[in-house]
Amino acid sequence: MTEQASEEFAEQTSKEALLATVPVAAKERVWGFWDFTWVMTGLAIATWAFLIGGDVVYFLGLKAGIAAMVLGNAIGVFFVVISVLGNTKYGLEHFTLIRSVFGRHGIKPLIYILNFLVCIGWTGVLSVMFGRAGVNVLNELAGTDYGGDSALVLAFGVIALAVSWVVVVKGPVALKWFNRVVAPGLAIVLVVMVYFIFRETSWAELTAIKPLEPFGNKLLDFMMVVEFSLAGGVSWWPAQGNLTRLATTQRAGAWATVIGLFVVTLIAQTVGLMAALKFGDADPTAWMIPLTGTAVGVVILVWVAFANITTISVQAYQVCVAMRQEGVRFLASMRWDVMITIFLGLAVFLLIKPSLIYDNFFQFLYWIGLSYSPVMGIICVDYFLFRHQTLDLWAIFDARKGSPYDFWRGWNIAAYIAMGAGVAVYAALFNPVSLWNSAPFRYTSATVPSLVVAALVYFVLTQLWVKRVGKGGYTD
Amino acid sequence: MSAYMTDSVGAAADGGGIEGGDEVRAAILQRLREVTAPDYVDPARKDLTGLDWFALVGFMAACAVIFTVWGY
Repeated sequence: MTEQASEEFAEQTSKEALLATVPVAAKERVWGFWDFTWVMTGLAIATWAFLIGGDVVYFLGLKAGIAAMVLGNAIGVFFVVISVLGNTKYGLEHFTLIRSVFGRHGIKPLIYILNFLVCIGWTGVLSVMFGRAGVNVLNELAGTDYGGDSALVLAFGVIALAVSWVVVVKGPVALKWFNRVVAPGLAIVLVVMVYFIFRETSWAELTAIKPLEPFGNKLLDFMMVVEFSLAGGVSWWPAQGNLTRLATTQRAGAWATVIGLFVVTLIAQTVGLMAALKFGDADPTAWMIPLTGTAVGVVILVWVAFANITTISVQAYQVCVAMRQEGVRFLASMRWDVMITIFLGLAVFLLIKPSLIYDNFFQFLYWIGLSYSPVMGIICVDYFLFRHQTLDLWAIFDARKGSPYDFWRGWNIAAYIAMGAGVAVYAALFNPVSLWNSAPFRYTSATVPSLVVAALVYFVLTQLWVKRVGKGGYTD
Repeated sequence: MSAYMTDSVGAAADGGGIEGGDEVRAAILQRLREVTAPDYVDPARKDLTGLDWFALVGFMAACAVIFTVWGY
């Protein structure tokens, strides 16, 4: 891409990014219940569903694993569904709506730090998965024995990032074509896996297989899985706000989300758990060839690798477009290819020791729970209790000092104090790195108390402070 | 509609307070006028009913309880 072309594309994406904040009108809403259910189903059948299901094998067997995944996902997806109802109602872009809670500058750390880091993490995980898939194919075809941490995984991972770079630089048209074929292909992979699993193993045999590395305390092991399933559900939150704004009604958006991200995701995760139990390995790329044989297994692994490129590309595109939205000048004018290079380049660091994030994937999910759950609690209190599901659209776009959602120079300090309280509660209950946990954790999880405490602190601060000093545009 | 909202429609009619270049500001302004007009109709504006909430909470809670009892 020439410098001039890149600058033109940068200008175009900046404009697109800003125009993307324009509320969607009724005539532009394209997804009724069935359409949106299909979209959600396509999203749910992704490679990370196998990863999440596979990681359950460390702590629980089949029946308890399914139960913990259902419980965690039910809570996580429920809060995702209700926290994005406003996006459907007003057709607002995800972070644009949150200006009414955190302030127009207050949302910037959520975009530039929180969302950015989470997406870098996902990109790293998926490129390692691509690398592991490539190494497994090579080992099978060439009779080599490269390990999961070999330099070849790094090399394949870099190839994944390089191909993704080309796709993203080409823009949304390339992404659209990739997307259309990936989800149906992964649905076929799911059916093939179920067939091969039950061809050789009965349900009774699967339920008899023990987990790999349990703590030995059933309640604690159960809650470990509930916790990362919760986080897995919660991890949909930023993407979901942007998708549901295209739903024709709030009811359609909510139920399609429940079917796709709860029901279908759980099916994919359960297949992942069954395969992980059968082979005693949490890594999805290690199952395919032993499960289906060389020919089918290699095809599946190539497809999994292809699917990961799609996901990496979609994430990179969305994150980089979002980075252009909120008025940071040097980002808005940065060359598009340079921005993509920086984003994807940062993920290379996670490839240096692939097992660090990939084999501890569930710990990455814990970090997502820690990051997103307090924010979701705060948003729910603000939207339902204080705003009574009614937002002032003019105020959301009014950047002038003293406008209703300006709070304190564009920052809602109360929201950040509440968020800090939520994070502190999480840290007091559970350490995502060492897995240290306090006694209440096994009964409460860490994500739920974090969400609840952030919501309560926000409620008290807003009621006793923010409203009294006339900030936030609260009308009652 | 809040008092501010009524005031700001007038104040923002020239694009005041809306960020972005001329084209972006014009697009946002035009859309805000459209979707806040008194005669604007959008089925998405209808909030979930009590029955919707009951069904949603009930379904998720039932799944969580039934599977926990079955599997744990």
